[in-house]
Amino acid sequence: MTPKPARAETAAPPADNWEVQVRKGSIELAILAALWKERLYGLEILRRLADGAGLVVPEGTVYPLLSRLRSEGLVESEWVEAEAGHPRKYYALTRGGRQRAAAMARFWTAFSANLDALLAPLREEERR
Amino acid sequence: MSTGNEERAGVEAYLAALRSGLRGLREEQVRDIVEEIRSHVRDAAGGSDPARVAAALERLGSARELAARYLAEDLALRAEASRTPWLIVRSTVAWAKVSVGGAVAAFGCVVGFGLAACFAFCGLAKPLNPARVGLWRLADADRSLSLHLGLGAPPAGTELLGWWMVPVGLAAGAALFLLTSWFGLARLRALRRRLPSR
Repeated sequence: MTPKPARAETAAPPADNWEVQVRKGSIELAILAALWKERLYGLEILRRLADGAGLVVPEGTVYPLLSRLRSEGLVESEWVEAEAGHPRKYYALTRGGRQRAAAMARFWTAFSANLDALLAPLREEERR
Repeated sequence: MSTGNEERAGVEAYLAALRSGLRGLREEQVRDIVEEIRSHVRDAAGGSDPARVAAALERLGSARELAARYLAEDLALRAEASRTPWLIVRSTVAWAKVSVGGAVAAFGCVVGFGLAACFAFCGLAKPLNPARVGLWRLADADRSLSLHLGLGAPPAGTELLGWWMVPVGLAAGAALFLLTSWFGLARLRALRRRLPSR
């Protein structure tokens, strides 16, 4: 079983503004990444972010954010009637959204690798 | 104890408040948003258990705040597309309802565009009312400056610019207009990239 990632919210005191800013700054990439393989509806996206990345996004925040991503042409939405249950609005990446997600992921990978190199001495000292 | 009917009434009341807060968006947009939130509540509650429905609504935050966020996003997009002062101010005022950063941006835009309008007005009105329009150094203890728009008697003190008020007023008005537009749009872009910390 794959271990679940630590939730960013519990990893440090909530008053730590730096952590809050990092988390906020990564939500757009996280949403685009969650949609990379398949279309999802709002609640599925929220759960994917929480379970897959430890990103707990307030529920009332994700819908206006999805609305913005749609206005920017990064995602498209479609109402899908369920056989049992009720209709749900699914989101999928557009071609522009895939390009944006790929560009953001490249930046994130390079940035975190560089930062990791800078952090290596700190980790070594903490291990001692 | 609440019944299923009461919980349904709670959901409908929430959606009615949301719909009311979304006034200003296109009817088609409003319907789409309301139906998506209805669908979310059903999924998040996972049935009609009253406590779970109430918890799902609570996690969404107040309908007023949710509507304000949709409106703020929509107005920011329109302001960025049109770049008109009216939409920039309206958009920052909408953001002021959902964040402190929005309130700062709204204050800056109202002051900036207000000053731009005053300077431009003085530049244009000086030839029509030269004795009362202009920039005065007041004869008070602080020797403070006063931009007089021509309403009422001119203040006691020394007029500083004379006919230079025309080019200076127009140039300062244009510069403040451009600066405030740049500030407002930059703040809107930054606000849209942020999420509330709730």
